[in-house]
Amino acid sequence: MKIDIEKLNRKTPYPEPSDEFFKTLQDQVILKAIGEKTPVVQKEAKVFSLNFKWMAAAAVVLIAGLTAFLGFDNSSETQSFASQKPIVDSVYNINEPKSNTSEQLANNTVTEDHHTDVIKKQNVKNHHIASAKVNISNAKSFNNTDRQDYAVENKRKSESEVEKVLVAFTPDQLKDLDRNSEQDVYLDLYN
Amino acid sequence: MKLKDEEIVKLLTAPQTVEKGLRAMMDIYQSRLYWHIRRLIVDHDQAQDVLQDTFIKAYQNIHQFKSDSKLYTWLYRIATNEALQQLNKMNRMRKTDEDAEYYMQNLVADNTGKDGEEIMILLQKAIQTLPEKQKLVFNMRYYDDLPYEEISKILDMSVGTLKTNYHYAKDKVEQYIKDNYSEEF
Repeated sequence: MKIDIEKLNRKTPYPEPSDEFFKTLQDQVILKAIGEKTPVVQKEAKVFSLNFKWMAAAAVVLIAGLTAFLGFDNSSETQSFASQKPIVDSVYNINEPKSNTSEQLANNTVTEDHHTDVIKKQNVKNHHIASAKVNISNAKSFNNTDRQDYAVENKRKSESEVEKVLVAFTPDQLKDLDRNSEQDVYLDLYN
Repeated sequence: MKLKDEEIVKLLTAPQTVEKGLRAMMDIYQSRLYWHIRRLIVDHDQAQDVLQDTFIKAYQNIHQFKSDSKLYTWLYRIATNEALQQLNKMNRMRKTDEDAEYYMQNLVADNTGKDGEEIMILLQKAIQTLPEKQKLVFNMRYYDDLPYEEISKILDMSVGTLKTNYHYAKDKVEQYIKDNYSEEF
């Protein structure tokens, strides 16, 4: 059997679409093409306004940042000094109880004398010697420090604490303390 | 015709006359493009979607249209690309080429009307067995009666290649009909 397709009717076997089909299609295309284009214009405007907002926000942040940075630059020096001082003080505080000036030592001695008067007479001598030795040892140990001026107040506190401890001692305990302190080779150097 | 194309392009590029331009373009080319797409995709609903996308893309890219070519050539090109993309999507769901071919032939059988001539149905089934390029060339030449020069512009193929492809496609289709005509009818 010989088939020649050129002689056939060139009609497609699929059914024709309805009359409404192309009309509906046109409406949909116009709706999508033009309907989508209008929001795109609005979108662009939004994007512009968004960019403007971002630019404004960025400018504000930049100005604030620069101001803070420049301000921070000056204040940082102040702040660093301010922050250094407590650090130095704190360093000195560690040594403060150990550092004594001669004047303070004298004051301490007076204070101690006052306290020792409270104690019985027989213990006065021992107590005075013991407290003086403690003070002398403190003075000798840390008299060479350059940081004495920073620790006046703290020193007084620590001295008063020492005195409180000494007051709490019984006469017998002070005798023992005196005995032990005499055996201290380092303290004997200043006797 | 050339003037008509220019008028349509002018209408499409002016914001106030876009709708008028779109309607004019669709009035002229919608039927031809619909059948071009339908023969490739077979399914009516999918052909409708592809045709819709074709016109939308044409409108969106109208600034790329060069006035030295014909508008329908440009529209055919867009429609062909859209249809091939849709076909690839459909065929991706099939495991093998044979499955895809079988699926398309069944689709032809399902979509033909009651009045469809048997030989025409068989011809459509035969077209579905052709490779992509041969299918395109055959449809444009056989059904749309486009000159080889125009098909050459649409498909970016030389006229000689197109003639060869059409020749091979025609032979295959005739052979398919010959092999199957007696079996089915």
